[in-house]
Amino acid sequence: MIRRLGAGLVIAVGLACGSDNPSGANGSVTPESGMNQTAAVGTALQPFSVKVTDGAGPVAGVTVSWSVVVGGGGVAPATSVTDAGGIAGATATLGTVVGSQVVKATASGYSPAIFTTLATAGPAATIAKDAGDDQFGFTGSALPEQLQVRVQDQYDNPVPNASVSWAVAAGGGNLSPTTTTTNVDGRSSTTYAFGTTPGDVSITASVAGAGTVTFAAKGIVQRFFTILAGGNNVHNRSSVDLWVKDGYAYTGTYPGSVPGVFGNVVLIWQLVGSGAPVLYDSIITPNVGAISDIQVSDDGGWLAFTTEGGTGSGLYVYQLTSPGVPVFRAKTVVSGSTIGLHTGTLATIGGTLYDFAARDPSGCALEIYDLSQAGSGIITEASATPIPENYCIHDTFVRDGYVFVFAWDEGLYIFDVGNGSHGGSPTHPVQISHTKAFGGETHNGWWFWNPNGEKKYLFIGQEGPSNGGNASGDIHVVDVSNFAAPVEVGFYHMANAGTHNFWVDETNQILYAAYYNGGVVALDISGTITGSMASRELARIRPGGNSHTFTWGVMLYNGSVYASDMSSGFYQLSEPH
Amino acid sequence: MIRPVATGVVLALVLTQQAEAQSPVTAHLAAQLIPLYTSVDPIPGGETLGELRVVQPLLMLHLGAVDDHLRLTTTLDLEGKTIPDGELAPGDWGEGYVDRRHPHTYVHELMLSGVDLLGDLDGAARVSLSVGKGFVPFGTDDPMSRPPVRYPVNHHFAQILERAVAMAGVRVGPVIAEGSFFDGDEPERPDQWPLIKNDDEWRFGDSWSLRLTLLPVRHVELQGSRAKVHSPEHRPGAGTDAWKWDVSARYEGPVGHSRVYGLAEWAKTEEAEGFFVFHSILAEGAWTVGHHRPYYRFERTERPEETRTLDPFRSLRPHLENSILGITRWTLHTIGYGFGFSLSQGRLDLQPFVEGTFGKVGLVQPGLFDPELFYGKESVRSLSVGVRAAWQLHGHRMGRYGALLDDGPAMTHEHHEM
Repeated sequence: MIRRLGAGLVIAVGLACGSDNPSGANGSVTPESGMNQTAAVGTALQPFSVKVTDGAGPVAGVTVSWSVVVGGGGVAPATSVTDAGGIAGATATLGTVVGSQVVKATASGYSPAIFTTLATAGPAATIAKDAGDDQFGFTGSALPEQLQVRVQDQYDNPVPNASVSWAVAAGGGNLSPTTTTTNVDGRSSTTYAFGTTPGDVSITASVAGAGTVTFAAKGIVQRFFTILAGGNNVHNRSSVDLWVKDGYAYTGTYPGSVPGVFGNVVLIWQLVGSGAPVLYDSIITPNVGAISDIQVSDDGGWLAFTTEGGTGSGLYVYQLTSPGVPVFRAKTVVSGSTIGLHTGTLATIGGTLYDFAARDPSGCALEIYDLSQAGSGIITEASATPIPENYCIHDTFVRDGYVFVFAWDEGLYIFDVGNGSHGGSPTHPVQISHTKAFGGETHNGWWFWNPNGEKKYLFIGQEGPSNGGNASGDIHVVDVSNFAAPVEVGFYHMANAGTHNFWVDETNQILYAAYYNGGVVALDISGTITGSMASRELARIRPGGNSHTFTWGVMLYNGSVYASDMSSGFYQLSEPH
Repeated sequence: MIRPVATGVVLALVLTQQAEAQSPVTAHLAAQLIPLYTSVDPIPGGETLGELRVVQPLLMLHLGAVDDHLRLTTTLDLEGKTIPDGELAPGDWGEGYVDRRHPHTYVHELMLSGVDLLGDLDGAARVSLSVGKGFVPFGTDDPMSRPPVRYPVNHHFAQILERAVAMAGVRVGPVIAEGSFFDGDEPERPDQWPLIKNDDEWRFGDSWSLRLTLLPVRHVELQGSRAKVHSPEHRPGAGTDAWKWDVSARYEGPVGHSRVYGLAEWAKTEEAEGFFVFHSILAEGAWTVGHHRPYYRFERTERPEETRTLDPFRSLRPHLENSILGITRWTLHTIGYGFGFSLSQGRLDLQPFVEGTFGKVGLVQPGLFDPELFYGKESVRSLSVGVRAAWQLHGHRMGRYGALLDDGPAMTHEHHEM
C-alpha cells in the first residue's frame, strides 16, 4: 500500500513538472503503445513507444530519454531517437517487488510521457510454516490453533490465489479442508483434528512449484489423577513442603488457625503397601514458627530443613542413620534476620554436601552452608551473596555446578558455584547473569534436562498474590540455552489459581506443578515449547475438593505423585492415567 | 527531593514577605492521656484477657508566628513506652500488630505550615503549604480526636499518618482542596522515622493523596479522598501498592441545649492491582448534655489475615510474599458513656468513661484462616473502663494543617506570648 501511494505521488509530481515545461504548449512526448500493462515481477514488458510532436506534427530526430522513476527494474535503451513518424521506443523489465512501476520518457523542450505498469507476484516458489507448528492437543479434539502456511515467489513476494494441498502424512486424524487458497498476503490455513490414537502426527502442506512443509503435532489423551491414599491427616497445622525418599516421606508445617500451635513440626510418614503414607514419627523444633523447606540428600544420608518466624529460625540438619530415623546433628540460627531462612536446597559440589539457602530479610542473601562437618555438629557458612531487599530469594535450584536463584521482583540470577565454566565455587559464587522478567514474583524453578540430552528449558513459577482461597501466578518457560541471556518462550496459565512448587518427571517429560487452589496439574513438556502450554495439560486434580485445596508442593516417587496441601493434608496420588 | 526542597523554599520566601507585620509568637501547650482497664473476650485461642494500660499519652506544642501565617504543629506520642506491645483491641491491625492497636511513633506530628500565604493577593482564597512529618490529607480525623476511645478496625483504611509529607491546600469559601506527596512506608516501630530514600530510589514522593472537603452549611463537613500508597508494608519499597478511597459526612454542633457529633464513613482499599479489596463502613455519634456524653459506633470492616509470629498478636513483618491467609469481616458495635468535668479553671478536662464493644467476626470467603477456630467463637466482646484526661485540648482535631486550620490562632483557647 505504501508503495502504491508512493507511485501515485511520483506520478503527480512528474505531471506537475511537465506542465511547467515552457515548451509544453507547443510540443510533447505522448505514449503510443505499451501503456497499463500488468505482468509478473522480474519479467520483460511489451515495448513502450512514444510520439514526439509539436504544433506542426511529428518531429523526427528527437532524442528521447527513458528512465524508471518508481518500482525498480530497468528500461533499455536509455535513449532512443524518433523516426520520421516521430516515434521512439524502449523496452522495460519489471523490478522484483510487487506494485506499480513507472517509466518516464522525456525529451528536451517537450512535456514528458508516463507509462504505469502493475507488477504482480511471480509463480509460487517457496512455502513456509506460518503458525500452528508443534502443537499439543487431546485425542478426538481439534488443535487449539489452525495450521497456516505462507507462500512466496522467488523474490519473497506473497503469492495470492495459490492452491495449497493439505495431507496427514503420519498419525491419523482429519483435516478440514484439505485444499485451500492463499489470500492476498500469501497465507492459507486449515484445521486439524486428532483421531483417537495418541502420539506424534505429521501434516504436510504442498504448493505446486513451491514444495512441501511438514507440521508436527502431538495428540495426548486427557488423563486423570486418582487419590490413592492420604488426605485430612494433618491437624491444626498447614501441611507445606515435602520430600520422599527410601520409603519415607517428610513434610513441613505452617501454623494453622489454632493460636499457640506453630508450624514447628516435621512429620515423618512411612509409605506402606503400595505407597500409602502412614504417620510414623515427628520432629518438633522449638522457637520456630514454620518449617519452610525440607529435603533429603541424594544419597539418603541427610535430612535438612529451614525454619522461619522465631528466635530459633535457621537451618537444621539431621543424619538419617536409617530411612525414617533422623538423628539431630547440627543447626545454625540466622542472626540478624527477623524471619529466618525461606528455603534450602541440598547439593553435592566437589564431593562436599552444601545447603543453598535463601536468607529472609533483613540482609537478604544466597547463603551457602558447608555441611561436611555437620556430623560433628558444625555448619560452616561457605559464602553469603547479598541480594537486593526486594522480598529476597524465594527458592534455589542447583544442578551441574550451577545455582539458579529465584529472587521475586529481582528476577532470576544464575551463578557458577562449581561447574567450572566461569570459575565459581561454593565459597566464591560467580554470577553469570541476572534477568528481571518472567512476570515478577519469581518464586521457584526447575532446569529441565530431557532424555535427548537437551538442557534448554528452565521452568519458573511466579507466585502472585493469594488470599488463602484464591491465588494467582503463571508458569514461565525460559530458554536458557545461553545462560547469559535467558529468554521467555512460553507460559502456562490457570485461571483464578496460582502456581507454587514443581517436580519434573524428566524420563517421561512431565512437569507436575502444585497450584495452590488449583491443586496439582501435570503438563507435557516434550518437544519444542512456544507460547501457551494450555494444550499440554495432561491432568489436574484438587485433592481437597473445591473448597479445601491449597496445594503447596508435589513430588513423584516410585510411581506415585505425592502432594502436600495446606488445607487438607498429605496425599498419595496416582500418576496421570 | 526537589519537591520538599521547593516547597520549603517557597514557604520561606512567602513567609519572609509576610513577616513584615512582625507580630508576636504565640504558643499553646496541651496534653492528654487515658489510663484504662480493658478486658477482651476472646483473644486468640479463646481466652479472656484483661490489661491495665495508659494509652494515647500525648504532649502537644503548637506555635504560631507572623500573625499565625506560620504554624508549627508538634505532637509527641509516648505509646512506645506505655504500650510497647500494643493496646488490646479485637479486630484492630496494622504495622505488624493484630488484635492489638499498634503504638504510634514518638514524633507523631512535626508539621510546619504556611497559612494564607498570598494574603489579599488571591482575594478570599486561602493558599497554604505544609511540610514535615504528620498526617496525609486523606480520609477522616485521627481516632484519638473522636469520642470512642477504642480505635476502629478501619484505621489503616481511613487515615494515613506519620509520613514525611509535603502538601498544598487552597480554601475558597466552603471548598477546600488539598494534595500531597509523601513516602508510602508506614512505621515499623515507635522510634522509626519515615524512609526518605532507599538506596538509589526515593521513597519520599512515591505516594500521593488528594482530598476535597465541602462545608455546605455551618457544622457540616463532607469529604472525599483518593490516595495511592506505594508499598506501605514493605519499607524498602518492594511491596504492592494500595489504592484508597474514603468518603465521609460529619456533623458537629449544637442541637438545642446539647452538642451533637456524628460521622458516617465509607472506605475502600485495593492492593496488588485489585487482587485484594477491603471495604469499610462506619457510623458513629456522640451526644453531650451537660456532664453526660453517651456515644455509639457501628463498624463493618474487612481486614487481611496474615501469618502470625510466635506471638499471636503479631504478624510477620515485612511479608515474605504478596499472600495472606484470608480476609475477615468485623461487624462491631461500640457503646460508651462518659461523664465530663473540668478542673483548674477549665484547663484540665476529665472524663471517666465506660465503653463496651460487641459484635462478630466472619470470613469474606473460605480460606486458610478460620476465625472460629482461631478465636474459639464468632462473637467478640470487650469492655474498657478509664479516664480521659486532657489538658488544654478542647475540640482539637488532630492531623489538620494549612487550609484546614481555622481562622483563629493555633489551637483554641489560651495562648501565651513568648
